[in-house]
Amino acid sequence: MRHNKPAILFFAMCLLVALNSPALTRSSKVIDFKDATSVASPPEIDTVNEDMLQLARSAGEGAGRLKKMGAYCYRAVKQIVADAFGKDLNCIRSILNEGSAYEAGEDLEQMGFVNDSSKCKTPGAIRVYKGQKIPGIRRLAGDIHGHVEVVGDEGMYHSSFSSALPLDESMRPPGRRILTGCYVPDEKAIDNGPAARCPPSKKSLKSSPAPKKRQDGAI
Amino acid sequence: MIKFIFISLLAFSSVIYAKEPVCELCVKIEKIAKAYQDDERKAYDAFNELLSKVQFNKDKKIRSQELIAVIKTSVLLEKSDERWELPQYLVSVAQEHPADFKEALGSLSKADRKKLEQQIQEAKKLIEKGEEP
Repeated sequence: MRHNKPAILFFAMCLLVALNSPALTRSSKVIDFKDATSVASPPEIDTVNEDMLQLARSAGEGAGRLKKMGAYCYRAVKQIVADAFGKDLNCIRSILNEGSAYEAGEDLEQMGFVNDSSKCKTPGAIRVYKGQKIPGIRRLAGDIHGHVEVVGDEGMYHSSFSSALPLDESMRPPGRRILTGCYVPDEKAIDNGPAARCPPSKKSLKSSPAPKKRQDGAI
Repeated sequence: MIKFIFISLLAFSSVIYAKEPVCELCVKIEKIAKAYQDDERKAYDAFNELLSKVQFNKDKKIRSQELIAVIKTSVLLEKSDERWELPQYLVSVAQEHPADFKEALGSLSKADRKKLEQQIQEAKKLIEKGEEP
């Protein structure tokens, strides 16, 4: 049988081109055009569990809104957690019982959360910060007691107020809040933890919905 | 004699026409307050940054004017203060100049004064003790 050399050559060339095509060699990295450096891969949506979705939803729906005005970020996050899990607020506050936001990480771990720095911008994550006193700037409570916020289902950041940006990116001057942990619920640990013994909540904690982010990113 | 009267008149006129010290900070704050009508966010950010680090004048008369301007503008910008930072900054201001601050509070209406005093008390407690468990 006589081989068809031109056909074989043509096929080989096609194979060579196909093997080197960008479609097969594309990196999974996302290029951040803003500063022209590559950043970590985007979060994997399929590892977000139901508890996280519920936290994100509660945050986005305004469960952290407080009746009393003030910079009570941790109080607001406790409300979000209680609402997300459908548990009595006072019981949740007996578990998340520290008064300073920078201590929220320990409380959350006790409840069944884990610190996962790959999920810091994933809806449902709880971001914990420590504060930094800046010379020449009058102090705020957060400089001493830190801050805590929940990533909402619409990508905003919620505590006693809502923002399109996480606090370490919006606070001035830069460096005033330092992210120390991003806590996500471990469903099994939560189900076997102290919160499982809390009675169900009797009423909704949502007073008014959180402001929605506009197309241009403003609130 | 005429020379004496002339020189005295000159000296006297220099006293009358001597410039009153200008409260430059007050002028700055007034601009921010006016700008608030057009762009609340921008004006609030400018005032917040100013209040976080402003050093008040050593002259008591000017300092009083400055504190009045700061207090009145804090009340004006309250609804833009989502993070509740203005009362917290005022805690420090009140501690730096307690007598003058108390006097400046008198420039507010009774209701505004009471509200602001409560906010400052609350802010002081928050700064010192954190949130309750």
